[in-house]
Amino acid sequence: MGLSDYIIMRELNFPDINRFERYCQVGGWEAYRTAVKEQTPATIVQMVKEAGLRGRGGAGFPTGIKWSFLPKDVFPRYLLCNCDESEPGTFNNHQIIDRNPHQLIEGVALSAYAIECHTAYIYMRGEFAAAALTLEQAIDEAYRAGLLGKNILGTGYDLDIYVHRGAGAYICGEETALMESLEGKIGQPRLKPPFPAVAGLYGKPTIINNVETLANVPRIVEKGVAWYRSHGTEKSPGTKCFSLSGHVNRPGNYELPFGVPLRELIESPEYGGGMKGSRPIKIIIPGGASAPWLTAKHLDVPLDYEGVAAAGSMLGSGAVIVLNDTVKAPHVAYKMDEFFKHESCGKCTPCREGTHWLVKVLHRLAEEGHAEPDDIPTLHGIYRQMAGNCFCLLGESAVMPIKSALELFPEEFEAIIKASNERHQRNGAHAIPLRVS
Amino acid sequence: MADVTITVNGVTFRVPAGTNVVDAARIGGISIPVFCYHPRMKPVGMCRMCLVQVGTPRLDPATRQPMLGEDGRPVIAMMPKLQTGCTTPVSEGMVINTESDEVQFAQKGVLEFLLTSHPLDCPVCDKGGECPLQNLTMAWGPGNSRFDYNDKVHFEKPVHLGDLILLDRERCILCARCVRFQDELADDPVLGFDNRGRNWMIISKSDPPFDSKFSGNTTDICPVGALTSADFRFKARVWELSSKPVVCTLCPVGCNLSLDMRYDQLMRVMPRENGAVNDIWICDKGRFGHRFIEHESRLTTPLIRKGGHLVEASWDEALALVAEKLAAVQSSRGGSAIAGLASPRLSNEDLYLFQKLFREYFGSHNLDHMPGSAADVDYDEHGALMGVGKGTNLMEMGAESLVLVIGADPEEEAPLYVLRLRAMLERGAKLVVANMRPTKLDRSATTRLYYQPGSELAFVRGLLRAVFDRVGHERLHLKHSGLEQLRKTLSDLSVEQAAELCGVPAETIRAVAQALLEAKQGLIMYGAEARSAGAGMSESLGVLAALTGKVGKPGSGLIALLPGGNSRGALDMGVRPDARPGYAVLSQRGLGAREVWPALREGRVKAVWIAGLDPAAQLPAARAALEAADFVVVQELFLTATAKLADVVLPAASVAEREGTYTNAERRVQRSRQARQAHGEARPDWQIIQGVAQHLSELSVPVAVPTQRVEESSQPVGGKGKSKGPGKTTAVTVAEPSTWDYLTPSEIAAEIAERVPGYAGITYSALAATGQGGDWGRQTNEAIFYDGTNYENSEGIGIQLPNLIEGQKTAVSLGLRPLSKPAHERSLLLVSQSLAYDGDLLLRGSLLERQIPQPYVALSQTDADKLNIKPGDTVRLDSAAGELTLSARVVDDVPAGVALIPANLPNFSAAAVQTGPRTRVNLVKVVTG
Amino acid sequence: MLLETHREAIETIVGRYASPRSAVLPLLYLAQDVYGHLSNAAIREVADILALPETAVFEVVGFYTLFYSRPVGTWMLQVCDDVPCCYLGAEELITALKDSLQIKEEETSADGMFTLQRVKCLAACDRAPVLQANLDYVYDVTPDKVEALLKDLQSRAADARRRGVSGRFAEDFAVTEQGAVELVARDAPYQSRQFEVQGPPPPPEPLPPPEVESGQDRAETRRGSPL
Ligand SMILES: Cc1cc2nc3c(=O)[nH]c(=O)nc-3n(C[C@H](O)[C@H](O)[C@H](O)COP(=O)(O)O)c2cc1C
Ligand code: SF4
Ligand code: FES
Repeated sequence: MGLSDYIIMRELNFPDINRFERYCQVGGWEAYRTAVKEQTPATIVQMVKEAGLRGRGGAGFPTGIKWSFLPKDVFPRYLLCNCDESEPGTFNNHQIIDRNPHQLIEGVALSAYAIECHTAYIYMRGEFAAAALTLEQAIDEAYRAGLLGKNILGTGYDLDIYVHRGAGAYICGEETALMESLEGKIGQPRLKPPFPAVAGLYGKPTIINNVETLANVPRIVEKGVAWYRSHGTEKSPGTKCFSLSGHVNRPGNYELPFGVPLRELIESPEYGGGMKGSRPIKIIIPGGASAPWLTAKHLDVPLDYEGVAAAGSMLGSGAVIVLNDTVKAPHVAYKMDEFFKHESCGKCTPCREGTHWLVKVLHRLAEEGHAEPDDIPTLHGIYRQMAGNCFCLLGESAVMPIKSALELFPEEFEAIIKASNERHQRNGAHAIPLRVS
Repeated sequence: MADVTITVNGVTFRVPAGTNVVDAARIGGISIPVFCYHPRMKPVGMCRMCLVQVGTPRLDPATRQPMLGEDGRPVIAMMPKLQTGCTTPVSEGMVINTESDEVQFAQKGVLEFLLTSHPLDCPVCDKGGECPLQNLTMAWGPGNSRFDYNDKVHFEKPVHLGDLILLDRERCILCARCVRFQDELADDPVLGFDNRGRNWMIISKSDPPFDSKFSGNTTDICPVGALTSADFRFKARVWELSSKPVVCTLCPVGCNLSLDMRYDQLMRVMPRENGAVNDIWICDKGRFGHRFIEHESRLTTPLIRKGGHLVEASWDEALALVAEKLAAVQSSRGGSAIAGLASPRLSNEDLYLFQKLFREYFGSHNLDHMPGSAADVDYDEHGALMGVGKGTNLMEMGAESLVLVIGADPEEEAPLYVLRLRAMLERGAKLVVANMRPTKLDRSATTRLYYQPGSELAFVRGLLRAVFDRVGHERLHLKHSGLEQLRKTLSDLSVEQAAELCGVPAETIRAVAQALLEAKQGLIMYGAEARSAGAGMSESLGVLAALTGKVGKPGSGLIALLPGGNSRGALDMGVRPDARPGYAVLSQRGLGAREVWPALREGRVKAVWIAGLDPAAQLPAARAALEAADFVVVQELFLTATAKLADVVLPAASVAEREGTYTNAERRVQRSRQARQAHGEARPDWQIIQGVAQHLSELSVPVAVPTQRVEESSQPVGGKGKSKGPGKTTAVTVAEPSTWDYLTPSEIAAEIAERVPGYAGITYSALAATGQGGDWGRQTNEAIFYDGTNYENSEGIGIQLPNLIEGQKTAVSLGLRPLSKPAHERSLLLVSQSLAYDGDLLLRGSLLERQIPQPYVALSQTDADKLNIKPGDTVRLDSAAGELTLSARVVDDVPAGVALIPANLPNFSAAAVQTGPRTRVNLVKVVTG
Repeated sequence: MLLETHREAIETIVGRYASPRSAVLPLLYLAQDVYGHLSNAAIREVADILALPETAVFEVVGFYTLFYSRPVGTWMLQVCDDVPCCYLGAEELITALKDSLQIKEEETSADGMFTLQRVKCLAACDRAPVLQANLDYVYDVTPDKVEALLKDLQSRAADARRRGVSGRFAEDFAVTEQGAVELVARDAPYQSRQFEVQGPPPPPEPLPPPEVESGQDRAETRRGSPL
């Protein structure tokens, strides 16, 4: 099943699509011009609601509904575009911006108009310096064309869009941490409530959406709700840019309608092109590092929010990492949790200490092959002490890799313990070196 | 706020709506363990120790009413995840479970996690024995840890966050209490975190480091031994300490302290909870500035001058000599040849007896509690007459109240007020800060304004006029006299004219007046800089309070920040030449300190008795006078410059070695207890005074008490004109002095209560009685909030005196003295800035001594440019009185037209140039070859 | 002093936000670009410009990984070792770099040219193994490409020095004939791995002149700083 009429990645192969003129040639900025001149903000919100657009940042929360949480008559408001994309396996925002910046800017502008806000910030992870430049250039072009700035197209509507670069912290993708970071503080999540829609950036009502989410908006406005809903499924309408990576022949971003089976993404010659060297699939992580793992037996799971959830995982950011049988589950868990440990902000105890301890044990076990007899109950204990008790979802996510690994591949842990035990017995009591740190 | 009903662990009770679950459970006597939560700070939900199960009644979507189950009780929808109690407000019908398996698993889990990075070095940790981590681990934690001990973090230790506070990083559990205290409460955001995740750690990068007058409090609220004070580190185990309730005499706030003693040694100073005074905080001066009590240079025995040298003597010898000499002067020259100066750090009992001795035995009114410098300010009366109304509690004030801080820098003069004012602000109070120069409190102010240097009186007159214009005749039925005169005085100066004079826009003046009028409760706090404008200032502020209806009721009135711990007591007790205790003005006044020095030189006064003051250190005139005096008695802690000139030196007990009561700026009388044995042979001041009295009456030559007629009047103190007021004149004959046999200070206090207007009922038994009841703070030893640190207050919260208008039905004259034109013969106004860390000899031996600045004069950039002065230049100040050479600083927060010098530095005196409380100087650069 | 050399840029940056504190990150980037790394003095300078408590700015420097409070090489080589990179050659790449540069992770080569660091996912997983040389992405860096890469980076740095530009990210600047320092435009949009494309893209038509309506120039927000 191919898709000719892309929503996000449209005309991505069109040369110089990142230039304003090219983008306009394929109908770009039209939706925005029409909206600002002819449509009320409420109309746009209504369209987005009816289109059933769901947030692509991970939670899949309906965007139109989120927008309608804004308290009436409280101004100024802010729109924040979340481009802190840092979750292992996730890389579609990066590409959308680098290759088709105008679609995002148009989306931001349209959404800002819809929620009646006059200042929007695009928060980019610090590493995306080149992409930030690309975006700045595109924003400059839009200003020069009178699409941004004061009194846009003579309608009296003002809008400024600024690019703000983070400086290396995954947690700043969490919406409240992002606001803290944007306020010039360390990026640690805030207590909720109050929710951002009520009191966000600078204490003002704020909407935060993912890059891909906002990039959908121009298409919805341009082509209409019915057209949009003709893609994807009833509950997950539209398309999704799946970031496919790992041991597949053709890793990359593939925009496919929601509901496409996992198998097609991985195996279709147009997309994943099957596994490298035709090795068997061992682990599929369908939604970025925070998603519980699936295995080869889940290949028929449809890739939409409900389908993946039913399989016991989550679609999350739509990053599909496929690993073959050369990897060891404890090691994958170790690498994943090393990520979470590295990115834990330190604010709450379970995440700060739990990720650290998990990595300590997993490192010893998976990298060094030294295991203690009760490592398995210890690992279970640690993640259970974290699960549900952390301040934000980062800590909760860190539970997933180790939990999945223990659930799906307990024998690999047992094997390491057994081997270590045997070595231990062979070599006498001090086989496990006492590490003095 | 309306109450809601909640059920915790099956027990149902009512709590105020909006309370968080931790506090609410506590009301029901149920403990939820916490680390990061602190009831004085906003909850942050970081440590996750307080996780509990929470459920709320399921509401019928149609009716919004709780749905009822089969048993007829509301169906409770439990939240899927555990919730942090500290961040969850209670709501009607909420069900909370703090004991279920899930909760216990989570609590154990959090504690196990915390202990993974904690070094468990309890045997060498100062917090051991009062450590919340220790205690909570015992109560809620796992029996053992599965974490590999070799994986613990280790850091270089300890880290000096400053002179006073040390950090043992590896013990820190990252609760951010210290950071939040500094940010939210102290407004010294000098602590922060470096790195992130498990490498997250406390840092301070301010310059100078950990620069805060409140830093010590962080060691109390740190729930582990991460923050310790340089003063207590490795000194003692807390269980060896016994806490002695003492009142701090280092500033007019009168914080409640515990002196934690091991046997007879002071180990540390801790706050004692008193919501009405210091809450659970103290400033660093109180905490670290009590090392003087054990300083090796304390006097231990009486000294008598023999052959030009001070030699040790027995008490009997010394007291007899004093009595004999004074009696001799008295009989030959009369009482007026004897003068007495007593320090405002002495207790009420001391001060009362001191003046009583002078008045009864010698018939002398030559009394004062100031050193007699040209810069001494007028006696502050309105701070008592119109002092805060009885029942004022800053802890409870918030919305609808306004505080006007004028001519004051509370952070330096009375540090703890900063915390209290900021807490009021947090609760919604308004804070207007008016000064001639910026102070740190400005950052907290809701309105801040600067008047031209020296124009505060014009500003206040402007306020008065604006108020008067607004209220017109409405308040004419005020019982105070002088309204006509007031109207006349005020009509001389329009708001616009006042604005012109003080440089504050007329509309701002009107807005402040309006805000003060509108506020339900209003306090006016004024300090040294305001008082240096003369008595007209406090008088005008008093009238402002009266006209805006801010006197004689709770939450309203004046707060005067006076130097020392008990200036108010000294004034109340009448240690002044012109009034008896209770502000009863004498028609025939004695000599004040300023007049005593010339009188000594000229031989009109022959003998002087100085208790706890050191004028010789600061005042060349005093030194010369003392050298010329026939007989000098000094009663002191140390051999001060003054003591060195004495004929008899009597070693006095420090505040820690005796009992006594002290009256703070809000006129709250508080009782301080003895914490240690007398130092050497030192005796409490009251005993020394009584000893002299006893010797006097034992003298074989009976004291010739002159029978003199003393004109006394109860005429309004504030009113100057003698003609006004009903002023009943009574002929008083000084009776044969009684023989004194007070056994304890409580007997003196009882007499004070009987005789001193306003002090009725303030007896030791009454002061002790307030200690029960427990209507303040937490329950004793409760293990939740400040667990570990013991702030227990068994001594009571003191008793607030009524202001004299309330208590006595005293009428005050509203008449104002005319506004005098400031003289401008020299270009700069010399302002002495009161500093918390100055040459006060009580700071002797403390870690704070290092923070006392070197003398300097600070100028604005404008003036520096004009005079071609660079920072560090040597400059010469000259005034009508003389010259002074200093090194110059050029700083942003000094306004043009002001030369700012720190007041009261050791080994430095500005007396050479001072012509009065306000001196005008010229300044030139000294060019050295 | 940044305020003297970059006043306009600083004012523009601060002007983007409702609270000046928001400008901390951009100003720290600026200071880092100018000084090479964030020394204590540089951090205090930023605090001073924004009138913030010094500790608050130190906190920020400590929290974010792209701020370097210690001297680092001209090129910061940040190799992603996260899943999936680690299973697609990241470890081999790191070993190759270590061998070539004769340094360990977190160390700087003797010539001060390269600092090697492991980092977490760089969001280019389809082009694994990936590294960032300063902020430039380098894709598909298999160990055999290491030597060439290092040479190229070295020559870029040498080139920058020849142009008289110093400091970190020097290679991003050029000196104009008038002697002003200017940003070198970089245009390296992220390309996913190219597979044989199905049919050529439609030939671009000649561009119509852009429709300019009330066009306005935006204040230059990037001057003086790569970003
Ligand atoms: C630890 C953490 C990291 C996150 N990182 C990102 C991110 O990089 N990009 C993103 O769009 N959303 C991220 N999110 C989700 C955001 O908090 C937020 O839900 C999202 O930006 C909302 O946008 P949407 O409604 O368009 O999905 C993250 C959430 C958490 C808890
Ligand atoms: S030092 Fe103490 S108060 Fe500060 S964060 Fe650490 S544990 Fe908490
Ligand atoms: S999270 Fe509630 S006390 Fe720390």
